[in-house]
Amino acid sequence: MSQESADATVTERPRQSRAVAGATRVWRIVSANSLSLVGFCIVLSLVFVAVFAPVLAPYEPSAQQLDNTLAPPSADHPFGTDNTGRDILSRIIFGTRYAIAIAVVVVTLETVVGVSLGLVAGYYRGKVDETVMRGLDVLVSLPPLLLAMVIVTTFGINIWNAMLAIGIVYIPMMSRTVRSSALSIREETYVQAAEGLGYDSKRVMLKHILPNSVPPIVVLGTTDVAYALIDVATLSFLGLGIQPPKPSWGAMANAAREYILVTPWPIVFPTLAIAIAVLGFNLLGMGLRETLLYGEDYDEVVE
Amino acid sequence: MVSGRTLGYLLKRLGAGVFIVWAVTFLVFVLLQIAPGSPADILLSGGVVTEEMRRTVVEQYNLNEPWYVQYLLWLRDVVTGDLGYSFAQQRPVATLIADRWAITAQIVTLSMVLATLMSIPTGIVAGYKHGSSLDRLLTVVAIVGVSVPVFVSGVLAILAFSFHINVIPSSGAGSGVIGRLTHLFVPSLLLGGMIGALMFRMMRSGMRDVLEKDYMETCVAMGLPTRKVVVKHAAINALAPVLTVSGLWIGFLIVYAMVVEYVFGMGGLGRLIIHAVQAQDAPVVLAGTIITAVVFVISNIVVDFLYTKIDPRVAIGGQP
Repeated sequence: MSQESADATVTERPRQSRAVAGATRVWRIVSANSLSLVGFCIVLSLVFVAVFAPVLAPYEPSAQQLDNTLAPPSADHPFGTDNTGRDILSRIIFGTRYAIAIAVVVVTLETVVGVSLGLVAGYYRGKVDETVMRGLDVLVSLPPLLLAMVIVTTFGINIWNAMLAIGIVYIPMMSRTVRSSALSIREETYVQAAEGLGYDSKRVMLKHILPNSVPPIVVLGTTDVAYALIDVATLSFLGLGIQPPKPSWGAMANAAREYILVTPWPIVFPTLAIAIAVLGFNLLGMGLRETLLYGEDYDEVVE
Repeated sequence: MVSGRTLGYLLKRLGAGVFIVWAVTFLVFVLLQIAPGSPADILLSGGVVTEEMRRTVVEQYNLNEPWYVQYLLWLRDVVTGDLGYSFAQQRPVATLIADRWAITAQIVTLSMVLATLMSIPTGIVAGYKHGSSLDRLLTVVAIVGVSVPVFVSGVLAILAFSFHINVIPSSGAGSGVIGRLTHLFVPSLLLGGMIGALMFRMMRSGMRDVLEKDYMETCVAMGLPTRKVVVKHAAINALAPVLTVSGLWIGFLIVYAMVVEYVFGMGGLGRLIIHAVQAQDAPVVLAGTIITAVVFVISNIVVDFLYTKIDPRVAIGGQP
């Protein structure tokens, strides 16, 4: 018994210190540039708001007050109320959950599918590369939003199809980026050494090439979340994505469009929320690009 | 004028373009096949379905044939300009598109012009004086520019101008050249601002890269005036990647032009396609997709041609 707990503490400590070291490293990279610092704070607050939405929101996001509709901002309702008297602030707070969900779906699809395709194409080159890249060229020729529209037209308009469609359309750019970095990394001496040692292709790709192409993946992934948020919001605003009464920002703006003549608040606040969230990911992406890809002080920051 | 090598290069690009358009038609066809419900259901779902309509669709799309025959026959129709029939609107898709494409094309053109005017000079200045406070200011403005979705800026512009000041028409497309231009100006400015912000970023980083090259030092050492070095030698070289990327953005621009035009209540392709998606009117959406792919391919071939003019190494087959 005591032996077991001793083992547990022994394995626990390095893991904990590794987590702390990882966090410190992330913090150092992020705070190296004022753009990424501001962006990181915005993204972090979005995550915080999304997690603690039920605690932070003053009202239920779907609670209607039919005697208090389309109210301007007041002490009771800081952002006013919508056409069925729902508190706009509470709905925006819950809306962050959709934004974070979109970010998670896009990043997951991009990293799982996009990165693997890019790695395989860049590592094997030749026919495999040719086939994968031609296929992706076709997807790139269609603008993401249009491809998403085609997918929701054939598969039906609902939240999952919209999020999946947007997730899928960002795969090609990621694959291209990973491929081009894999192409150059596979010529490095350490990759040739690993191959010389007889490691199989999977190990070379995952342990040697992938870790060295992380900076462009992180930069592109962050920027793509920004574009994906715009696309899903646009899709929802057009009534083709997340549908009202779900409190997604795009859907709220869509519903408020009818009452734009009566009061601007129900459309102003959700659209501002979209702009701020997109700005957060864009700033983070821009700052990381400077630090990770162009920064002269990159090595100092990381090591 | 056009050398044999350039011609060969352009023919190669043309071949790739034809492949892309073919693949897009195939992709669209496959989506119809694998979507839940039969293709007949999807093609018909825009309106009230009668037995007779179902028979027409089955006949028109040869739905009783095996899939590859269906595809080939449908491809033949598309190539000959028959883009199908919208059952929701009771009209051929080709007519619907022919009536509406002009407004969208005008917005795309005008916003591209405005984007170029706004982004290239500022990009040159910001890249040349990078690190200065002017550069910082422009960079922040550009980040805000790409972060505000066009439907958001569109709605805010309508709110700010049309309802309160009443100077800018908030809906309709206007008549006559002047009327059309005043109606198009604000939507194009918003769209151009978004694209311009992206172009600015590319131009700025392009200038930074070029200015660090050795030949810039040579230019300065030869005693060329700064203005000439920056504009003639640096900016032209920095322009090449911007040109390539603006070719890749054309599809993106078309779709966002549709969104802007929808927000401003103009009767262009945007309203047609967006209503078609809302009504699940598949033939219209699919035709719109194929046309966008064709425009994308053509504009990229034009860009490739211009590229060979800026950077002759590309056509000769050297490493750009």
